[in-house]
Amino acid sequence: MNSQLKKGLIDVCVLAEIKRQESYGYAIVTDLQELINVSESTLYPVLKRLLAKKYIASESREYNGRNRKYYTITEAGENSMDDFLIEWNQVEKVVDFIKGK
Amino acid sequence: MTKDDYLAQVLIYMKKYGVINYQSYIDYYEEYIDDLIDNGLEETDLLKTLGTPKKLMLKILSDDDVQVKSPKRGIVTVALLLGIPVWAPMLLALFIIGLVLILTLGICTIVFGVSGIWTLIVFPIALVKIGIAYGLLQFGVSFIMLGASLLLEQITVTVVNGMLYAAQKMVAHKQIMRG
Repeated sequence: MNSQLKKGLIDVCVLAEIKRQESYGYAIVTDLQELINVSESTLYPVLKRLLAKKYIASESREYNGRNRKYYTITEAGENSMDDFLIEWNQVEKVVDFIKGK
Repeated sequence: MTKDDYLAQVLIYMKKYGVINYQSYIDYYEEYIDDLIDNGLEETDLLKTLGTPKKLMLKILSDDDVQVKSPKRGIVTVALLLGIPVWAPMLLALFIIGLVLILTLGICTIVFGVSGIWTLIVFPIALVKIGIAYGLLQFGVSFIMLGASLLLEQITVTVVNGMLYAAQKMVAHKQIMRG
């Protein structure tokens, strides 16, 4: 996928993944890998960005005698997903135009 | 390579390149590697999965969230310190040249002034004792010397003002550079 396009989609994909259920770094990468080819090093700045925008919240919890950071979506995060879907309608019109419909 | 060795290497690289928020990266990758291992990855295969520590550091350096120390100020300071043997004597020489110039001009002003006044005071004696021609010559010479003294005095004042102005400009420029 075009890297510019991917960059725009990856944030929403991570939000959608976390919206399904609270998740952690490794699980997000594994779940999204096939869909959008996200790696651990690309996920890090995405998580930081979403945290800074308060679209997601994080909580450290013990797992197997070590700490693991779990991420949950916030209301602002869900709103931004809705905004994305509204914008996508516009994108679909553009895609139709490109296809020559 | 074990997890601890791998992370230690990454930490060394991050510190070397001045990453400020390295702890956040270490926490993230430690958790990630632990999860990899929990899901059946052998520690010996870490390099294959994550790439070398250097490669990981390069990915970290290129991501949006990295905070890196600005090396500029450090380099300038080091350059200034290393340059002391060169610029310190030059600055001192410049200072001495300026001082000598001002002192020379000042002393010449005083010397011409004092001699001018002295020649003017004693010219009637020469007029009476030696002769009219010599006395008049001494009268004229005294005015030449007084004139030279006045000119030198003006030049001294101009040079001193110029130097003070240049020094002020230099200080102001330095403050702007710092600000």
